[in-house]
Amino acid sequence: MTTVTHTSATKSSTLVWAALVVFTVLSFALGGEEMITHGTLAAAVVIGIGAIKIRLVGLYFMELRSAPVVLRAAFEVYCAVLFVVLLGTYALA
Amino acid sequence: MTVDAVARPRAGQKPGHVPGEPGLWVLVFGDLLVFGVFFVMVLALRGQDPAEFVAAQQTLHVEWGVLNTIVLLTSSLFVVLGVRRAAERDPRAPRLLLAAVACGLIFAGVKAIEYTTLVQDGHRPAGDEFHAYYFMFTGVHLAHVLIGMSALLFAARLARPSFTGTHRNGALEGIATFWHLVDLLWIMLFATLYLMH
Amino acid sequence: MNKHLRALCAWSGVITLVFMFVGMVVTGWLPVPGPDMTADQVAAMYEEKHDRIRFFSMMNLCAAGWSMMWFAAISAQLRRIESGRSPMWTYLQLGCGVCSSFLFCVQALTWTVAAFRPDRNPEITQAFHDMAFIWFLMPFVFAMVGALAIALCILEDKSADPVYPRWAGYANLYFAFGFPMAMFLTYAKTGPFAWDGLWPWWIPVVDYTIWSFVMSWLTHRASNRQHAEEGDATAIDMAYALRSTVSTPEPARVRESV
Repeated sequence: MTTVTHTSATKSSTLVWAALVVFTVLSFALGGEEMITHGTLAAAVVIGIGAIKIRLVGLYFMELRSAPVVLRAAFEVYCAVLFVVLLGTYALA
Repeated sequence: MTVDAVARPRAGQKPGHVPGEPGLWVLVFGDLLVFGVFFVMVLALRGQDPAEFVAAQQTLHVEWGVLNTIVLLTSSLFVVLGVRRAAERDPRAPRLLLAAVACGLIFAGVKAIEYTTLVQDGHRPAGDEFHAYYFMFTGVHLAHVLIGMSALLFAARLARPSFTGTHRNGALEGIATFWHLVDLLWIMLFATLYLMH
Repeated sequence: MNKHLRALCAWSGVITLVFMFVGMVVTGWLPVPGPDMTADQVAAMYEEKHDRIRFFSMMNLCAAGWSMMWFAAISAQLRRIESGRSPMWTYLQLGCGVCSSFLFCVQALTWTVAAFRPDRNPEITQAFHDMAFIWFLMPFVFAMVGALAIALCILEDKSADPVYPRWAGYANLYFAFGFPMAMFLTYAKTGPFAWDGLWPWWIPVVDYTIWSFVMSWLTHRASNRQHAEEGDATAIDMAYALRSTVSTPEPARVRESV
């Protein structure tokens, strides 16, 4: 019985890992190689991908997905606030 | 989020479970807050003189940063699988955690190469502001990596199926959570220091 | 020990902060003067406010005394966790506390020396001024190792009714990570890494302030519970009582945590 759930859990973690690696390469290609010439848009993409990656690590690796609502909400708020504040600092500074 | 569809909560996992234990999250959010300040500081520095920031940033080797990001993500996957197997008393669990420690060693080795290259090229911690930020923020992060690796070595011992003791699973989950935090902080550190132009 | 005296010891961490705060406000050193001042500027500052700086030094010495009481109050509670076994963490925390208290005296005396002869060569005053601030902010190790000892001791407390709550153990781990930020002041005269900047000043000082409040409150709570369990009788009282009633020659075996 455990092997069935075990395999599906392993598969989903591996999928999340693959998504994170794809995001890493993608943000390197977009931000690092300057495929987007418009500064603020490129920044939004790099910070946005970073925030999404952080959220994936938190929800799936740290298992906040099944944590109490308060804890999960605190983490989600952190991701969102980080995105807004970083983009704001970039655009305004 | 596209992966939501494929990664549903796994069977047998109790909803409402606090990873590690509640008190641990005081440390996690404290660290998230301090690093949040670091990320803002990097972008504020960029705002002072974007051209100078980008010029200094060109001295970093982005490829090493990408490699290290993937190394840490992989180590996190090993930790997830290792802790899950440990809960099932699978004898392969310690090996997975040791694989994560090996990833940590690779990360530290790559950082040592990066630091050496930078110093040889004349970019020192006490030099220009960008490199001061770079050395100090990545240095604090590297200290987290080293603490996390020591904790993972301890976890590999706990993960043995023969290990009996109360608090085993809680301690394993707590150490895993700390390691994922180290991974998570690097993701944004990499984005702000290496990728933002 | 009297209940109110225990509360005073527990809150002496906050009293330490009050003395430092009053001293700094009176001196006009909030925010602190940065390390980018020239020797002449430093000398002029000491010329102008040498009396206030001498007062600040005395406030530092008072803070040192109160901080000793605070570290002892924490040690007494850690000793309860470690009753019946080798009190390693208690000793480590007490040792770090003694060193931290001593550092308050060292910085105080260095400021006193700097302010002692305001008419001397400006470069000598600047050297002592630098030395006092570096003594004040850089030696993070004692606070860090002390917080680590408290953290590990609390996390090892597996009893059903722990002396400190478990989250306090993790909070102390966080404080222990925050204090070392101070060491980077050695690299910078301006900006966020200078001793008046975000890293060596704001992060460790805010950390230390929160640490003092949290640990004072928790130590007060723990000693109140101890008081409720033991009443006003102290270990010594009980040891004497036992010695006078039972004619055993080993009063040292009586543990304070009965």
